[in-house]
Amino acid sequence: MPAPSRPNNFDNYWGQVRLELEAIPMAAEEEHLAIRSTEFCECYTVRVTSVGPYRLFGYLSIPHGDPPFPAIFNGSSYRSAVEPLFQGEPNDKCSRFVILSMAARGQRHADKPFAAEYPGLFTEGIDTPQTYIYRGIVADWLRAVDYLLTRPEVDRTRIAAVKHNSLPILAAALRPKLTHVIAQPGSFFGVHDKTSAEIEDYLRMFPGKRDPVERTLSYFNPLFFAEAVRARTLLWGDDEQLEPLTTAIAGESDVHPSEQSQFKDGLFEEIWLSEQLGFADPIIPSCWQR
Amino acid sequence: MQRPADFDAFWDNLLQQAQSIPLNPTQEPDPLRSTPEVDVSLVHYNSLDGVRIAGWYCLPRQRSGKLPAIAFMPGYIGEPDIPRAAVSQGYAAFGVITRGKLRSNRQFNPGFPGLLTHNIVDRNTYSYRGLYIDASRAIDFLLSRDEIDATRIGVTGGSQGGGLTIVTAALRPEVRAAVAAAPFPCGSMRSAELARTYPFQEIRDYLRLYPEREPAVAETLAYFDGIHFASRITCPIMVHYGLQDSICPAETVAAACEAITAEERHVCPYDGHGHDAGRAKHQPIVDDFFRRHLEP
Repeated sequence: MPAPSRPNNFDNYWGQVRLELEAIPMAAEEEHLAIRSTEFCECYTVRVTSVGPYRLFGYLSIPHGDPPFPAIFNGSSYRSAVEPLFQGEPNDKCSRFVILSMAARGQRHADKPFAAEYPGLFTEGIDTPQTYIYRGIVADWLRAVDYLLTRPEVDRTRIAAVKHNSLPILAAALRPKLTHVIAQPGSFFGVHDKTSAEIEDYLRMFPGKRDPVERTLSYFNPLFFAEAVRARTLLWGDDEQLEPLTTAIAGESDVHPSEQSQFKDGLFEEIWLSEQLGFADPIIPSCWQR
Repeated sequence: MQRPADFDAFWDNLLQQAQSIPLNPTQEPDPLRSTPEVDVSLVHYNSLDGVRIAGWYCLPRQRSGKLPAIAFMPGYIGEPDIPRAAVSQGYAAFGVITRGKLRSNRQFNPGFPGLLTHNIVDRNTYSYRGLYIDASRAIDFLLSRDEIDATRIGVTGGSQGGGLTIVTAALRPEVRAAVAAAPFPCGSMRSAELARTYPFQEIRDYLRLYPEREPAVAETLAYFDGIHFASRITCPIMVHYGLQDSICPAETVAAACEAITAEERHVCPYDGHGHDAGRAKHQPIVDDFFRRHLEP
């Protein structure tokens, strides 16, 4: 369901979220996590406060060696679990980048008082923009970026937000200090993904709610954030389908279609990100080097 | 890693224990997830150690006679999808939610990461002991349903779901056809050394902190290794995997395939593919395999 048009009070809506974030202390706490620390990095659990107030959880890994380091913000996936390093990425990647994997509200370790359901999260509170759960989740992403910016180990000229959904685009628009973005526009942009079925289910059950649901989703359409995105951007998807978005994005953007291979897609993404962050040699799994 | 001498006795004993636990299945219709074509219910049943296991049960709304069924086993970290699509192909479909996942974590919740090394020095309390029985009990759930044809039950899954497929096919002779994609875990100690990625990285993390426990860890994992279950499989089975899999090293998956002694065995490695196991190309072959064996 592509959102119909940019809401009149779009800027006010997101301006209010930013004001709420500014008004609430981040109150960061870190705790060393010996079991996830390796020969390449030290790992910490992180807790910070987002709008609500709501206490979030994350994993922060900091490379051994002399800072500053480029940083990767691994935003929340559509599932309950959060890992220190995304499944399938080689552990020596932590030798090069500060990596922050932050759970949004509802995910494990950030599931009190709200425990998200999957399926279910995508339509939680969707009847109005003010009650929609993603208002808070986007705020949580912004809070994670705020937290990264407080870390003295982070090179502020190289901070990437990476996730195969629409949210890195929203985060880059609302937090312009993000320098790089990897995203995969999904149902917020009208591209079918695993959350689309939840909207279909919801509207089948509540057919009279189509207009309010469309209205709520329009506040989250990456198209309406694009003109504020100045970060260097890689979008996964179909060139033609994403054309309105790539045209609107203020910064330089690339589009790459999936080759339906975790190996080929992963290799492309690692090479792209490494080059963008100043490294000629990507850190990739050993079985990809053969 | 050698197959323990008492491997079969260990699992036969556990299966016997499990059989003594009343299944006590409940089935709650979920109108929000049901469609004009598919009735979806959230199911619960009892498993080992008093843990209540959930699953998504999908049936065609229009049906006559008994149905073949496919149990869909879950991956390690994600939330299982509701397998509604299989219903349009003529199957009853059961999406199993093993312990530790949302909806099955009230009594057992070690988290992710964490589940793979939970009590890893003790085979009698290791997380996967219960997890494998949860998968086996999914077959009991299907057998308990009047609408299911007990002679046409299949099982499938990818990654940990592939591992659970191998285990369930090995433990349950009622399974008539199995398709495993990129099965996990196979050759766990070797995989942890080769992959250096999560989830196997959890084992490396654990041994970095407790190096003196390596013999106990290896001893435990030998009882839960897909390679060691493979020789018990008798039903037709297909395994597909990517040769560039950064999560489940191809070498260890190939070793599990070699250990399968079933009369009908199809091994499909995909060059140029990773943990996706070549699914985009391979799915029509899987559909055909189940069609031949389960006759929807």
